[in-house]
Amino acid sequence: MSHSTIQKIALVGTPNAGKTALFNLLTNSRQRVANYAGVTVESVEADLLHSKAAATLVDLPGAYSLHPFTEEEKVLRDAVKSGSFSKMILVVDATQPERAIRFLVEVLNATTVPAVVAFNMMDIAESRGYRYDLGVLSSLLGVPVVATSAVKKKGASDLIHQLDHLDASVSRESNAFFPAQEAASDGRMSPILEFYKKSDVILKQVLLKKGGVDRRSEWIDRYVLHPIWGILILVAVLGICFQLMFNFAQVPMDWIDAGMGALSALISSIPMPDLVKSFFVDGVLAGVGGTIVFLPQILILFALILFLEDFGFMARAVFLLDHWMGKVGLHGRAFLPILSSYACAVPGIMATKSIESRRDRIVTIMMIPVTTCSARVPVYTLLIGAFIPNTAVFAGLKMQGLVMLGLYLAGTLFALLSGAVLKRFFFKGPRMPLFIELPSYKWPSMRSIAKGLLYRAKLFLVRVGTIILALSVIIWVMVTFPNKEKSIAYNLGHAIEPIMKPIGFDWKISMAMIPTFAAREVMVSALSTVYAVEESVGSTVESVSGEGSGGADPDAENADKLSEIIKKEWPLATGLSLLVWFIFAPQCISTLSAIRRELQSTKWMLFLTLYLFLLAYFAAWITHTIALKI
Amino acid sequence: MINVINNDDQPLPSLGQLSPGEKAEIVGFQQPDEAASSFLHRLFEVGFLEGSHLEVLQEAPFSKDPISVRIKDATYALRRAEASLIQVRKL
Repeated sequence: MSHSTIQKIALVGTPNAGKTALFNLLTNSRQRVANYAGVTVESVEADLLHSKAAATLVDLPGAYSLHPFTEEEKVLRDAVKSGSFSKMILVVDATQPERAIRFLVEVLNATTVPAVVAFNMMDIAESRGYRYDLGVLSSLLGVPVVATSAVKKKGASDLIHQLDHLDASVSRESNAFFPAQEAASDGRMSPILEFYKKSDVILKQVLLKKGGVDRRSEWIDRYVLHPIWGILILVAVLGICFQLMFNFAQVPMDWIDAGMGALSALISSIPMPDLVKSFFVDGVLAGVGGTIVFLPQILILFALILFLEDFGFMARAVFLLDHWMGKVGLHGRAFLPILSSYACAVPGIMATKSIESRRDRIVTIMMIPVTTCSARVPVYTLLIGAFIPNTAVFAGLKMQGLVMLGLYLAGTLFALLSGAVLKRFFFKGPRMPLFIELPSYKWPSMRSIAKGLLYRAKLFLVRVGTIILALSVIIWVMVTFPNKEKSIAYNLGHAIEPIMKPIGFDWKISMAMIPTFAAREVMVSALSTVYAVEESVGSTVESVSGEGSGGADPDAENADKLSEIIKKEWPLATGLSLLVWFIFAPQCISTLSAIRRELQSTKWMLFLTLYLFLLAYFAAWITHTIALKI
Repeated sequence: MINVINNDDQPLPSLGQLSPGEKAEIVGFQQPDEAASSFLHRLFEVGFLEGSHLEVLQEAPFSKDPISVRIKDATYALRRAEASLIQVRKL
């Protein structure tokens, strides 16, 4: 059991106390998904820096108390009480004295695990005039207390020093000062009030001077929450997000494309059998390269989300949108999961944990798969490039951009519509109360954002290196064997063709559609592989008659070339039908398994798959039929 | 004990009726039903207790709902419907 020698340390704290920034300050950048007994929520863990003993820090979800109100808070309570951790770091917000002390008292009372307190955001608290006697706090609570400022990188070494000196084998004595607080859940409030009074006794001894209110945040809110300015700012922020995602990402995406092209040229120049060359160029590179291109886009969107959340804007967006989301029957909190799902449905689905009611969670999760995730973008880009003329429509707006915008709107509108329908007919019931803190605005720690991004990038690349690589190879095998003219794919594609014919898909499209259940963006690489192999069949035939052992030409501009091919091969109706098909379906396996995991229900997952498939088929059929008539 | 107010002769204003800029002191809570009781518990946790002073800072555009309330130096958003569980005395 080599694992048991590495200590597991829990990072526990209140929301908006800068917990994640502290986590990123204390740990190295090798973040990974944390797995421990009895906990189903995805938490991040990483190794502690500068610690004498090897230790792993687990970033648990934030909560105001151990009384579970949301799924995330339940996770925290279970984790604290599970005994999975040998030590804890408790993070509280120094600008919120009452809340901080209550939280500390409650958690220290609930468990005997040795703990260190990080009194975080101390710099902000002090600049607002708060003065504390942390020595007294430490002796009253019986645990070390360290003043920290995660964003300014202060207090980390002191905190680690204190942590190292805790003896994990000796469990802390539960604080006898406070009675157990379990009775609170039955509706009788008096035990909690007693408990709060006792916390306030501590507070009086510890808080030497009370600070002033945060005038700056109040001032910013006058604009951000203003009827006119507020809406304009919100629209501008969302507009900038999408603008950056599509325009800014283009440059690095071109680099990646060029890099992949150079790599395939290099491989082709190495003398080796054609089959091996084809494996690397048409199988591995076409598939992996076609997907890795989206990394910049995903990172830009996540960077913006992380920034806006840390800055304090996301909570304001919930405030502004709550009423309007209510019109669709949704909770304001559904905003963030839905926004994340424009990058990828999986983190969006996971983010629904903050929604208290299961009913609202189901409705939100059902909406997420039709919002336009970035994996659809390559497919859209390919099809738009091939079939939509880029004529100027008006004032510099081009047709292609408008169609892209239209596809986003179609997905969004449909998501809202389906949410409204589900809520009205299947999930009737009162709205869950809204309760959200509007935290002080603060400049986010760029280091923290960078580490968060690194983690996302790693998750994505692992996905590319495993699932997508494997699928690309499988597709390559299917289109290459037993021989290129009558391959497995050819037969399979022909088998599905009768079903797909009414919506305009031939056997090649049908064939390329199969792997999209693993990842939508594979559509492009699958088509590339299908056509690349076909091309190379042609070129081998030519080379036999002509130049000799030239072999398949490396396709440096994969996508451009593919665009040319499908433009030639497919009727317009097929292209449009395929675009519409991708608004609704197919759902990728990662999305479906995330849904199953989050809702603990196979029934819902199957329902969603079937209903979106039928819907996609129907919508594509209408599009195809109409397009043929024009 | 929590002071449950059932005074029909002279109804006290609730937090749900306040406008931005108004300050008040919490004097009690309406008897919550099953669902609201857990919500009230959450409010207690962050400091919505009898005797606490609060101020309504903002209301959402057009709908005037939800409202943002400052209490104990923190600001929270809640809807007027739920805020009406909190009985206040204007200051």
